[in-house]
Amino acid sequence: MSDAPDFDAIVVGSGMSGGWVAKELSEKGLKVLILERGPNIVHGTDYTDMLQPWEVENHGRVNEDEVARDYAIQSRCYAFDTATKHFWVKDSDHPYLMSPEKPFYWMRGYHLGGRSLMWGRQTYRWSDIDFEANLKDGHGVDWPIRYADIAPWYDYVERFAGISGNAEGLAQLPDGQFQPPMDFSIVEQEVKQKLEAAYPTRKMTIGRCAHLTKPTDEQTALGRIICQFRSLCERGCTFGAYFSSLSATLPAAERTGNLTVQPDSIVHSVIYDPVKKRASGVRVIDANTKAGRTITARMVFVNASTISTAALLLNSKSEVFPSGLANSSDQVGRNLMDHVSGMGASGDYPGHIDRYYFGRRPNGTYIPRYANVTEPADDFVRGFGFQGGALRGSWQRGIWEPGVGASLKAKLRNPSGWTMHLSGFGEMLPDPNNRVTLDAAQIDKWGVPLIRIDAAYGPNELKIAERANQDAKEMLERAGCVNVNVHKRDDGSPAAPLGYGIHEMGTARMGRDPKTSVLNEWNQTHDVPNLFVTDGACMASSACQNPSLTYMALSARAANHAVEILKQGVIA
Amino acid sequence: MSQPEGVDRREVMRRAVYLVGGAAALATFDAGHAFAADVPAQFFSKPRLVLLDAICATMIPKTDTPGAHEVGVPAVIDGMMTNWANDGTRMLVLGALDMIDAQAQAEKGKLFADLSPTDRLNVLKRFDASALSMGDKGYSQLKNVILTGYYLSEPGATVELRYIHQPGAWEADIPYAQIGRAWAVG
Repeated sequence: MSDAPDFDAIVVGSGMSGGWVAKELSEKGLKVLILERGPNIVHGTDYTDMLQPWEVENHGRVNEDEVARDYAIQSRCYAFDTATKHFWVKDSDHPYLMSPEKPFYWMRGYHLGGRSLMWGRQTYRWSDIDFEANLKDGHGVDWPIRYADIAPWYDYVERFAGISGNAEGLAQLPDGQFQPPMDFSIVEQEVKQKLEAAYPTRKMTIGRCAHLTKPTDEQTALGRIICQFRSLCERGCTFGAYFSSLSATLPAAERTGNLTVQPDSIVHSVIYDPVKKRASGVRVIDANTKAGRTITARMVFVNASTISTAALLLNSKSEVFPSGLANSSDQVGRNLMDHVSGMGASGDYPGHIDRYYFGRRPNGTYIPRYANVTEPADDFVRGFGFQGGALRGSWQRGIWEPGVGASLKAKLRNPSGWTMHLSGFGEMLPDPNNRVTLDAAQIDKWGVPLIRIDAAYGPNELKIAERANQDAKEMLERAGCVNVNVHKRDDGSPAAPLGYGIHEMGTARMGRDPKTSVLNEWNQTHDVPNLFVTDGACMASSACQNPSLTYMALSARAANHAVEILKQGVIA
Repeated sequence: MSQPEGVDRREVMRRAVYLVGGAAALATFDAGHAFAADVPAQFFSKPRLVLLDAICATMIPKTDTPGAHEVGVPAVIDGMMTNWANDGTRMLVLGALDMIDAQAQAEKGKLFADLSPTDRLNVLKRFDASALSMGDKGYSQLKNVILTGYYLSEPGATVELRYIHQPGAWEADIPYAQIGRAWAVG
């Protein structure tokens, strides 16, 4: 038997970040294996985007008993319905532990492409305000990189992925390689004008999103076409008009001839060779047969998604790493963050009932962070931004407004007036006590220890949430809205529970010091030179921008670095 | 799998009646619409199906476009009660139906379905205003599924309102007159 490893690289996970790693490594000539714990998904064939509204089972409503039994957590996501159910895990098959007092609702997609298939597609760069934040206010550890390190990689991934947006020249939200922006509705135009007049330190722009509005030859060659403005994205896009692993990175990797994809393959642990002091491969459980197998490689990238990546490292115990692989710092699983979400307000905007729109824009408006950037905040650090938009309501108002018969039908024939909403996303500080751990006493049906999530908002997050609610109401009122209501939650909290942001980050953070961080500036574990993590686990802080674009850039950057040092013989 | 209408004896008997008379009841639907003619009711008893049909026809009547009866909303709701609703939701919806019949009895001494179109409209209008102001969950759900079934049906979405599956463009600011109806899906 040969000593040669089975593959040059194993990538654990095929989602947003794993897809990028596989693309970069295979394009550089490495033989790459992607291990995906869920089933295969065929781009197009397995999507439901061609279903007309009247063809959707139960008009989207998943059987209530089935929801309670199998999807108690996943069903909380706006994108969960009968047309998308197959893209969400069955909570009954994939249990995890949390205390009722500190809920963390973990939304997951276990299938080829992961959550890149159902993501919100909002794509924002981070700036040095974000990369310097930990150093400046002392929360968490200093990022080992700055904007200049990642900027060329933002350029690189944006050109390939295709990002629609408008350049604004803002320090806190750097411009990128944009395809043409989507237009504002008439009310959004007016709200922008009034808002920026009332608040000279604030700005409203159109959402930056991973949709093709002017495809490049490179994108066309992958079979992707311009966005058709159907806004059925969560069902998968047969046109490949939004970026996903399935529409973009995996096809690019596959055409190199260097990629192998093995779905239904649950990685149990990463194998550590104490003699060579390297990761030598992974132990895999077949999701269907539960048979085990071992696969070897010259390097391993863990891209299982923030919480699962931490769990995989924690489950990779050895004599050298008794508390989990690459965990000499004891930081693996700590510092779990999500975005503070669920804040905001909506109001009616009078007038313009003679104006309307054509098409369904899969994107909204964005108010970049201003707190502690252009305006000081006296009682909290960091800040928040707002997604939003102004549209006209349709027949749904007939459900709660009184009225029946021909007069109801006549009323609902026309849309309602305009409604503008703002939805806040706030930064969450890294806190070592917000943790992912394993419960060795309880196992799932594949014999893998259950994950326990123990996390809660701290005082800074709650202050951010309260301020975001106040500001949303005040901005809408000053922009001319009436009947403005803050989004109320049944439990009285100013924010949605943790998990609702679906932006988990931080459980294997980057840092300068191996004693206090898991990864170096190249997303390489301090402890094991051929072991990399480039998903959300790597994030040393959360900023308030949607994080996927940064995962993409860090993944491409790390993969290219790994190829370089592999060729130099540093990690072979 | 889902069970029809719960377990009490009254409902079992109603369902038995329906199983015998179902085909005849369905024949009263407009044969020009597939939903109405071809799908046998699974959940509703015959009397409640007749009641539901009368409520649908009153809630969204036929005007210059088909109404909820014509597009087969009762059968759609029957399917949703069978395939979507849990027992709690079913009981809420059944309770709302029965309350509407009770209101018809109280006001006019007849079952809702036996009232004249004018009386149906007046009874339902008063019931609607009262139930919504009281936050009646059963009626809200009933109204929800009637409107959803109608406006997301093909005629509801494309004849009464407007729907284009693949717009192919986003035009952010156009005269309303250019569309002239609400989009069925926002």
